[in-house]
Amino acid sequence: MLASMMPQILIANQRNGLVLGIVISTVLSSIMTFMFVKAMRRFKNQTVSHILLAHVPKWISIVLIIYLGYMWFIAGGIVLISFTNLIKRYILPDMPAQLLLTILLIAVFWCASQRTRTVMYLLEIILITNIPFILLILYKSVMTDYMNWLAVWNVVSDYFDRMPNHKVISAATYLFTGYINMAVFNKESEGKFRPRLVGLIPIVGLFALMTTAFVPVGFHGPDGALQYVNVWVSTADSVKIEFGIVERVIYVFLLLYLNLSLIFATVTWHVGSQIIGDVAKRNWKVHGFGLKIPAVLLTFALSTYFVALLADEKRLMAFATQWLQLRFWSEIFLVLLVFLLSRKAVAR
Amino acid sequence: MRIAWIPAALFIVLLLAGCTNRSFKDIDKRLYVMAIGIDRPQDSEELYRLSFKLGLPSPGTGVEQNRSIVVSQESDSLPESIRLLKAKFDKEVDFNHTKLLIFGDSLARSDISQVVDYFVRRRDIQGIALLAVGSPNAEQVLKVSPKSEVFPGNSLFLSFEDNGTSSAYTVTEYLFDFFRRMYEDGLDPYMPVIEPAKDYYVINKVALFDKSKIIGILPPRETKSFKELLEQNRKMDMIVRSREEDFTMQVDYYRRRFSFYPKDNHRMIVKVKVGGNIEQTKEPVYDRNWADYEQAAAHTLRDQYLKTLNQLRDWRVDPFGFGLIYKAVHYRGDADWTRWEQMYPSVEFDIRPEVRITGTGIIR
Repeated sequence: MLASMMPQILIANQRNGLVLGIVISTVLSSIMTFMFVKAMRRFKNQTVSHILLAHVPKWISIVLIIYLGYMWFIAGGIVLISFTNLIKRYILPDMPAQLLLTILLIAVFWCASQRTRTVMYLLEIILITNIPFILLILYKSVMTDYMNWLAVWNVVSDYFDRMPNHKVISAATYLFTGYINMAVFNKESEGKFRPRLVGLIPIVGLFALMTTAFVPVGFHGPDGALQYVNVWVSTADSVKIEFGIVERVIYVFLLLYLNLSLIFATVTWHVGSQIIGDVAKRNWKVHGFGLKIPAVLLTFALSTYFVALLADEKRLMAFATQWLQLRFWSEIFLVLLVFLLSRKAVAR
Repeated sequence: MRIAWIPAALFIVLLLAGCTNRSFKDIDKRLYVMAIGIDRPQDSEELYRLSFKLGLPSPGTGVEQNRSIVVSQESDSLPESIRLLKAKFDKEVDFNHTKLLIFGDSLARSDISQVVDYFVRRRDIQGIALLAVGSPNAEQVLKVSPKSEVFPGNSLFLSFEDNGTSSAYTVTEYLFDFFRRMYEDGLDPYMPVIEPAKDYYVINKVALFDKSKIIGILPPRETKSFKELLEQNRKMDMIVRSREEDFTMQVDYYRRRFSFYPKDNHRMIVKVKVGGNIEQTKEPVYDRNWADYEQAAAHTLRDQYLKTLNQLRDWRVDPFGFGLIYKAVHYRGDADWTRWEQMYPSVEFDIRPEVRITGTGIIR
């Protein structure tokens, strides 16, 4: 998502308040992060499902929980389908897309069905091993002579006073949306979790947003960047490391992209399945193996598979754009709801 | 144990790879295309003549290293000619090592935007492929196998990349950059021109494009100025011949900056800072006043650059991105560009060279 649809939406809206949108999104998301983390800390070892079930009338909470769970599921599903398209285009053009998707689905299914703590460790390992390479690619792309800062300045300066539209804000805030997974990860916090270096979130986020939107513009020009379907893949294809192990950065990029897509889908599906799973107290066990979470994940995987049969790139993009906007409001709603509930819980 | 069935399922999927052996071909069943040439045939009805330079696998080691062949095919569409070319070989034609695309002179003078679009659209042509114009045509350029070459097609790549030669006359252009320049208002594309000689290539000219076709080709001297202004290339020499002085400078410091007159936007300032050693001279320089030499060099530089820049302006091409600079310092959006389009033909250049001689070499 990060590397396929979000930059696409940002760059397509370069004249619709991109610059202001990035700033507003950073501020808004930082506030929401702060509110949500603070609120979740009040509920020791509880997921969002537990909170909702305890404080909201039952039928409303069940509808809400299933809705939220499926929002998380769609997040992962879109990434998996779009990455399948990418593998098919760049790495294995002769392999059927269904087979590629099946392999990805099985991997994600397996990872996402692990315990929450395992998923968090996995996330940590993937991030630590991948970030150096991400920084290398960023450094290499920003430092070449072919990065044209005048084109970037053109986009930034001429339209910086436009008010951002809905699409820009909903796409840009998506970069910060990781905090929302506290909805389930809070289960492992044991009340001891203290967010550290919170001040870094707006800074790193702003930097990441600016590179996401402006490096492709610097490489391909404001109009040229609009020509590409996957603008960041093409940007990586325009960078070369002559004395690296491979000259073409695109292969390093695709590998990183694979890691990040898989871990993203794993985390979102894990969170989604846990949220939905918490509705039922019973865990149907066969030989000591709980079937509740795998059953939810199986519905995720099957629906993704069948949606992938119908979706082409254009439809998927249109769907993702719409979904991002829905997600934006849902996220605000969830954060406010949990925040208010936490205040109420304390008052009581 | 309880989750052992999941990896088991994974392994079953891996076995499925046997069903798709269409997607995997061994390296000994592939032929690598090192360079592609695209021409417009003069004597036939077809639109394109596509030529591949194929690297052939050596039978042994060390005996016969540089083996390559050039094959051509004429057709109305590029994909069709690729398919027809594929039909001539027993192995899969692979573009993963294609690092050079050569456009024939006659094609480049008509319209290459569709051809460039095709190569950018293809997934297996790399964005960092090098572009060049082949004169008189691309096929002839491909057919040359220089004596100094070790791997097929290698000498052409090395000519353009920094880790090979660093000639002051050879400019470099990548596919992604050309594509960008095709779409960017105020930044026009260019390509180096390759001319085949018997056993080597001559690459000392540059072809300037409007968005889709050649407008003009700069001769070697101007190409050198072009390269200096474009890439801030510092590995160059500077020949100075005036009434008093006759010497050649070897430059090791080079910096240039374009800007507009604050009050009059029809005048552009080109600030150039050059520093270097005296390389060749008629008479000893050491004890004379170096400032005279510096001034003479600055004068020569000004004349050369003025000639190149005026030529580009008269052709209405803008490879240095003056239009982009204009757009960047004005804040009216699209209106900037229409204004610049009207202004550019009447822009004047104010070149301000600053030359510093740092030494005279080993002897006085």
